[in-house]
Amino acid sequence: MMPDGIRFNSMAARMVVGALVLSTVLVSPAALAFPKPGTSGSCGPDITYRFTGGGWNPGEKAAIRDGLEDWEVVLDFDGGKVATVTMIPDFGQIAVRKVATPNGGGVGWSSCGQGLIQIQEDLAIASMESVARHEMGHILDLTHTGKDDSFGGPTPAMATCVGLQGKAMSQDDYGGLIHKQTSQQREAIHANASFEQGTSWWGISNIASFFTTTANASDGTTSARIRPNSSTGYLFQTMNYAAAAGEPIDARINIRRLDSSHTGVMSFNILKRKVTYASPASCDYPTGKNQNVRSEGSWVVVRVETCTPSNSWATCTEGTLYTVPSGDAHDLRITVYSNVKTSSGTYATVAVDFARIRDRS
Amino acid sequence: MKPSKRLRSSYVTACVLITSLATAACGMPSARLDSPPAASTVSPPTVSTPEWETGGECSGDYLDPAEEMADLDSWWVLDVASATSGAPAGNSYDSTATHLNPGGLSSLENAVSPGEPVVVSNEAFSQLQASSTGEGIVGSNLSRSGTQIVHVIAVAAAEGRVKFLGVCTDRFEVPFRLMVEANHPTMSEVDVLVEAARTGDFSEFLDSTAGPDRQHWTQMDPSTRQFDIESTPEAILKELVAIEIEWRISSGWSKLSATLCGQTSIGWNTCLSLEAGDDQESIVLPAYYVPGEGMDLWLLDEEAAFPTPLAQVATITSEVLGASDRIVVEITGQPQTLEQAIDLLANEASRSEIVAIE
Repeated sequence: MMPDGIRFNSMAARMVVGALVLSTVLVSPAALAFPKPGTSGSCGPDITYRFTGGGWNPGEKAAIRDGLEDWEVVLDFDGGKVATVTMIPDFGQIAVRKVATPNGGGVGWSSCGQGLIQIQEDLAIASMESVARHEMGHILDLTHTGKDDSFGGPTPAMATCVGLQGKAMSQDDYGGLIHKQTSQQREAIHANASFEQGTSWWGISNIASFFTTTANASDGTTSARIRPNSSTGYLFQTMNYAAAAGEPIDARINIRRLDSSHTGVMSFNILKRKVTYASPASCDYPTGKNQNVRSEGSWVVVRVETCTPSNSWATCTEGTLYTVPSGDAHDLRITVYSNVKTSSGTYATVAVDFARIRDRS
Repeated sequence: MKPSKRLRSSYVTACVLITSLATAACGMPSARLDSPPAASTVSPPTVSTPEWETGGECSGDYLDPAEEMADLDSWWVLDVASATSGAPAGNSYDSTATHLNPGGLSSLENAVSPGEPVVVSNEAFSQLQASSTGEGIVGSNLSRSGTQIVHVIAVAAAEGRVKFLGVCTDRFEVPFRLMVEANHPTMSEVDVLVEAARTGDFSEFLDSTAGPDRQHWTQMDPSTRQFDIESTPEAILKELVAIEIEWRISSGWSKLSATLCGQTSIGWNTCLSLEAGDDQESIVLPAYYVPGEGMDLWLLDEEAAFPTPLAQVATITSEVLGASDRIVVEITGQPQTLEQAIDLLANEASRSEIVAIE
């Protein structure tokens, strides 16, 4: 599938810079996990940086480079890097500086507009790497996430008000960056929607076989194959995408049967559950909520779509937009079903690619 | 700076707990702060509105607030009354005397300026709880480390409350307050903070700021919990029978902002928004039931609030459940409002007309 948008690294996009990545975020009340893009300014997906100031030692620089450049692991739907982070001595656009007291009084601070990342100078080297990763996330237009990763993985790099140890690139970091910076008009809100990163962050229920392959993908280099045990089996991904109130979403998947003798339909659902974040404010969120403390409501299926796969890739798109209710945030989940069977009546393996919920605002 | 008359007249007007990376041990009773910090190492707070505050929100990237507090090397207890009252008997806390002048940024500067080493007693703290007012002190850019710049300031405010000062300090205050309310309902916040500083044990605070651990599914109320692939133990799901429910919902019902959910004796199934049926002839969803038991179908609000179901739609008996892998539930009729739909379901006769189960 070809991209239907343009990359967000145009000069115009680069010029859309906020004065401060952190402090100028003004998003709607429910935007929490990785809020709607375009509100805080971005330096674009291709970043260069330089070390500046004195007092650096090689170990610190190496750790910070690891943190800053960690964002290159995120792959786009086409298998390419969503963002590049490159050190250019003396000339990189973002100056990385050690300071006793970063602006804001925390352990780190960043500003796309000022071309600056500050890291507290007396941190342990491992902590510097964690702070560097987090600050580069801000430079790439990401805001904060909660401490719990959508997939139950490590504490996201973009979490705040948490300890530095144990933070790592998580599903929410991947999903946030993809949402902010990919060429799909920033619509896809998933990490690994097109399985370019294997089966990461996809879960299965009552599925006999789930794997990815580089053979005959609909986009990029890989696609997935699933074979359910029964019609109740499904592939799913959950995300703490707290879409803004009133924001329209839909879903689309690419599907294909693997043999012309196979018959049946495939379907996908959008589920949501209301999430209430603690109040009053405790941590640093635009909404004045503490995203680290949340309670969850009930999962509800809000959209269903069914399509019949053919011998070639085809898109199956939810016909009606779903508007996220007002009020608190909502977690979203996409589930993919198949009752495609072989001529002998057993469940068949089917191909799935680029399965995603889309932000259609 | 001399204390004001007002301050001098009060035995304890305000108490400030200041942390820094000074060499003294953290509030240990046996450790005296022999050498107050050098004033030259202190950076005065910025008076003008910091650029990073212009967005109207707390900015900067922080550690867990409790970790920040717990990792600090020392706490200094600063007692405005000490200059006039002298060191009380029954010493408990090493501290540094300072002339705190509530109401201005300069007080912060003074707070980390050299002063007389004094000790604040438990008695002083008890009086503090009754009389102190820590309001009016404003701090900004209060960190940092490697130096002796003020990092965290906690003011014992009126009625034993603790107020943290500086930038974004509600990130300290709120979790601390919640922890005290939960764990020490009979203690004042000041007492809890002082004790934590004295012992260096911030574990309770650390726990509180981590947020409540998600309750394990098995510990949830069966009448309000939901089967979920990501939270329900696999062993439990394996004991249940998985079926499909095919929902056939008339256009009248699919206009309503409500949900349909199936309840078993040990949990609810995934719910279906009526709205989802708007353009669908039928919707098939997986569901679980307990072997040998039936399943109740309910109408709920659009968020599927389990504690408050709106009306019972039907009961699928164990016999029906056991007879097929797919149960068809058809809901007909044209209710105009949710209230009308509830009324229809509340009446057994009308319910049997509009709900059919095969």
